[in-house]
Amino acid sequence: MRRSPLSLAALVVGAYLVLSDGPVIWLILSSLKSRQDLFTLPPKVLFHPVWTGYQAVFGIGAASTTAIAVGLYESLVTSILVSVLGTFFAVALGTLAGYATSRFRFPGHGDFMFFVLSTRMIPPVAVLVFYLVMYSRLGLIDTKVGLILVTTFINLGLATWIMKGFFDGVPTEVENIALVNGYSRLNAFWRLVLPMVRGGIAATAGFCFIFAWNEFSFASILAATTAKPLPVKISAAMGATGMEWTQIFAAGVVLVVPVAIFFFLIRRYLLIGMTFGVLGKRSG
Amino acid sequence: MDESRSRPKRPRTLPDPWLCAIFIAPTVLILTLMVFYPFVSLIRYSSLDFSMLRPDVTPVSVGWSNYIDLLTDKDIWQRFVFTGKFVLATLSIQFVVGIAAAHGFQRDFRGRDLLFTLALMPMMFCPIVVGFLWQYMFNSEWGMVNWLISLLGIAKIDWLGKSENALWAVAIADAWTWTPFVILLATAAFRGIPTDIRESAQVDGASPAFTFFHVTLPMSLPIITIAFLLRLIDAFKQFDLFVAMTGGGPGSETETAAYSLSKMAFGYFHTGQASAFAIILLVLILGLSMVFVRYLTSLSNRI
Amino acid sequence: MATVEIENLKVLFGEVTAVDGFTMTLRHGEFVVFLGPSGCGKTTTLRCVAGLQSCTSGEIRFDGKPVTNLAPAQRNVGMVFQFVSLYPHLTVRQNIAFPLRARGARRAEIAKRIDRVAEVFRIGDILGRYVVGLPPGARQKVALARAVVREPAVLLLDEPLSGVEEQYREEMRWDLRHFQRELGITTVHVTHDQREAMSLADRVVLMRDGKIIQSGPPAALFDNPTNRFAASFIGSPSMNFLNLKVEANGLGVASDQTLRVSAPQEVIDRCRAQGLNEVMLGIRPHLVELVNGATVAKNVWPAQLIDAVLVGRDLQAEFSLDGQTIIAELPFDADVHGTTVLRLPPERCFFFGPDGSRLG
Repeated sequence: MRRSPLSLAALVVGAYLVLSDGPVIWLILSSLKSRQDLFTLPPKVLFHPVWTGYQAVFGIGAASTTAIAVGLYESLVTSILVSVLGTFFAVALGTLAGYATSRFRFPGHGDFMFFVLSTRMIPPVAVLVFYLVMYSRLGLIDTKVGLILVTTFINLGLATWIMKGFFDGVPTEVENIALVNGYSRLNAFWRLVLPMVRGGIAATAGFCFIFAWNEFSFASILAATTAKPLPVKISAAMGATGMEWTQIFAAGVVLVVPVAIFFFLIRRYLLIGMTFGVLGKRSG
Repeated sequence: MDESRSRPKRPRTLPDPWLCAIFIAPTVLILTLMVFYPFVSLIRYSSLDFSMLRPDVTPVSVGWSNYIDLLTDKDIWQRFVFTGKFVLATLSIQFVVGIAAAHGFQRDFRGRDLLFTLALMPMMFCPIVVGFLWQYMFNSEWGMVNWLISLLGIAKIDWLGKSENALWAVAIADAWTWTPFVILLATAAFRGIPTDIRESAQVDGASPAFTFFHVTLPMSLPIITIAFLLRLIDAFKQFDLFVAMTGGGPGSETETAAYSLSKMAFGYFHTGQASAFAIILLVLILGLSMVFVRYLTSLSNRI
Repeated sequence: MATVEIENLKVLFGEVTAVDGFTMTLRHGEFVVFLGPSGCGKTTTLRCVAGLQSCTSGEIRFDGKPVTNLAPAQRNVGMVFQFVSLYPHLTVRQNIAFPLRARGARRAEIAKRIDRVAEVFRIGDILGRYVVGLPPGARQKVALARAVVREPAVLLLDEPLSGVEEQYREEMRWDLRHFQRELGITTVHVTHDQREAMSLADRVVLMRDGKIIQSGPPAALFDNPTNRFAASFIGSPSMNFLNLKVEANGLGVASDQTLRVSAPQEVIDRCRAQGLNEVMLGIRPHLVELVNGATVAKNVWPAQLIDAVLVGRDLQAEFSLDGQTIIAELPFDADVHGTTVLRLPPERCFFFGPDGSRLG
C-alpha cells in the first residue's frame, strides 16, 4: 500500500498505544516497588527497585517458601504442555470443523454452529461441580490429559467460529478450479485453501493460547494437586503466605512472558498471512 | 480445443459427505462429551431443592419453584440489569476504540509491525492480575487514574466505592484487556479487502473516510459480527474482574449475574437454585446470540 | 471527454524501468488500445494516467491541464479493473451510484444519471440485484456503467476481458465497441490479446520493454509493421519467417542455393549497404499462394506438406520449405498433397534485418 501522510492515523494509533501499554509499563514498574512506594501521592516513577515480588514467585532468597519452590518447574512444564497441546487440538479440530461447515453446508449446519457457540456460553462456575464428578469417575482428576481435554474444550468453540469466518471469506472458485484440474478435495484443502487462511489460524492459535495459558477456574478445581498449571500454583503459594501487591504484579509479569514469546514467534503470520483468496490482488 | 483427454483422472478419494463427517466428528464428540453430562445434571438439579453440602439429604422435587423464585426476585433482576449495563459499556468501548485503532493500523508506517504486536499485549495478561492492577490504578487515594485526572483539574472520583462508577471502572478494565481481540480480527477483515476494490473507490472519487464507512466497514461486517458475538458472550460471563476489583460491593451492587451465580453455588451451596439460575442465564445469552447469528447468516448469503 | 497528452513518461521500480519515455496524445473520443506482452509497461502507463501509479518523471495532461500531481479522486477518470471489482455488498444500482454519492451528488441527480446509463447499457432490469450472481457480461456492463456515470474525462480499461471465459468474450467485445461509440468517451484499453486490440481500436499502441514500438490504426500495423516484433505480434495466425542468405547474386534460401528469392532492388541494396549476411523474409499466411501447373512467376518453390487442419472456413496447412516451416491459410477446398508448389509473392513480402529493423 502507498504510504500516506501520518497525521490522523498516527494520532489514533499513538493514542491507543499509550492507553494500552501505559498500564503495562505501570504494572512492570509496580512489580518492582516496595509496599511504601506503591502507595504514594503523586505516584512514583523513580524509585529504588525491590525484588521481593519476583523472589516470591520463583521461591528464591528471603522469600523461599517451600510452597512455591517445590514443583515450580513441574508446573511450568505442565502449563507449557497443556497450553501448547490444548491450543493445537482446538485449532486443528476447529479448523477442520470450520472448513466443513463453511463448504459443505450440510443440513443442520446452522444449528451445529449454534451448538458450538453455546458451549462457550457456559460460565465455568455453573459446571465445575459436575466436571469434578465426571472427572473423578473417569479418573482424569489431576492429570495432564484431563487438563488438555478441558483446555481443548474451552477453545474449540472459539476456534471453530473464527476459522469458519475465515473460510467463508475464501471464494469457492479456488477449490472449483482445483477440482476441475484433478485435485482431490483433501488436496485442494491442504494445498490451496489452508495456506490462504494462515493469518486466521495464527490469530486463532494466539487467542487459544492466551485462554489456555491463563486458565484458572477449571484448573484450580480439576487439577489442584499434582498437575497444577502455573496460574494455580502461583496463586496457591501466594495464598499460603498472604498476597502482597508486589508479588501479585510480579506474578503477572512472569506469567505474561511465555504468551508474549508465543505471539512474537507467530507475528509474521498474524500480519502477512491475513488474506482471503487469490482472485485479484490483495492489500498488503 | 479438446481438453477432456488432457485432464488427469480424479484420484480415488473419499466422497464429500465422508470427508465432511470426518472433519466434524472429533469436534462434535468432544463438545458433546463435555457439555452433555453437566447440562443434563443442571436441568435435573434445577427442579430440586438440593445442596451439594448435604448430599445425603434426599433432594425434594420442587418443580418450577426455583425458577419462579429467581424470576420474581427483585434483587436478581437488579443483577441482570447491572450485567446488561456492564455488557453495553464494555462492548461499546471495545468496538469503537478497536475498530478505530484497526483502521489506524491499516496504513503502512515505519515500525508498524512492532507497534502492532505491542498493542496486543493487554490481552495476554492473567485476568486476576488485570483485576488487581486496575484496582490499584483506580484506587481513590493513590491510583494512577485519579492522579492523572487531577492533573486535568478534575476532582477525585470514588471509582470502586460507588456502583455507577465501578461499572465504568470494570468496563474500562475489561475493554482494556479485550480491545486487542477486536483489533486483531478487524485488521484481518480489513486486510482481506481486495486491492482492486480499494483502487476502485479511489478512482470513483471516494475520500478515505467515505471509503472506510461505505466500503471497508461493510465488507468487514461478517468478521466483526463474529468478534462482537464472542465478546458479547464473554462479557456476560465476566467474573474475575469483579472479584478482584470490587468484590461485588458495595453490598452486592456490583455483582453481575455470573458473580451471583457463583455465590449461590459455592457460597451458599444452594445447588438446586444455582442450577436454575445457570439455566436462566444460559437462555438469556442464547437468545441474544441468536439475534446476531441470524444477522450473520443473512449477511453471508449476500457477500 | 478530453484529450489526453502523455509526455515522456518514465516509471522506474528500483533498478527496473517499466516505462521508458512514453509520449502520445489521445484525441477526443478516441479508442486507443495499449497492446503488448506482459511486462511491457502497458498497465503501468494506464495506472499512471489513472493516478494509481506515480511517475518517476514526465507529465500527463487532460485537455491541456496537468494532472500529474493529482490523486485519482481529483482526476475525474473512470476505470474498469481486470477482475471487475464491483462492490459485493451493494446492489447494481448502489454500485453505479457510488461515485456520485462519494462526491455528494443530490438524490434526484443520482437517479437521473443512473436511469440514463441503465438505458445505454441495457441493464435496467438488474438494477435491484446484488452483484454476486450476475454473469460476466452483465458484470462488465455494470462496471462500465459505474465508470462512466460521472461522465469522466477518460475511460480506462485494464484488461477487462482477460478474466472472462472465451464464450463470452466475443459478445462482450462487440458490446464494448458499441458503448464506446455511443458515449463518445476517450478510452484507453490495455490488453495482451492482439485480436482484441485489432477489433476494438481506433489506434493501436504496441509496446515492448516500456517503449512504444509502433502506433497507428490497426490496418497500419497489420499491413505495414515497422519491425519484426510488430510483424510477428500482430496477426493470427502469425506471420511466417524465412531465414535468407545474402549472396553475391541476390538473396537465397539459406541452405539450398538453387532456391533464389526475388526481392525489390532497394532491399538488396540496403543489405549490401549494411553489410548483412542474413536477412529474414516475412509473409502472412493468407498471402501464401498455391500454384498448380507451370508458371513463370517469381518465388515459386516446392514444399513438403506436414499437416493440414480445417479452421472455420480456411484450411491451415503447415509446410516444410528447406527445413523451415511455413504456414499457409488457404481456401477450404484447396488441393494440398505431399509435395505442393507454393508461391510467396515478392510484393507481399516483408524483409527484416537481423536486428529486427524493416528493410523493405
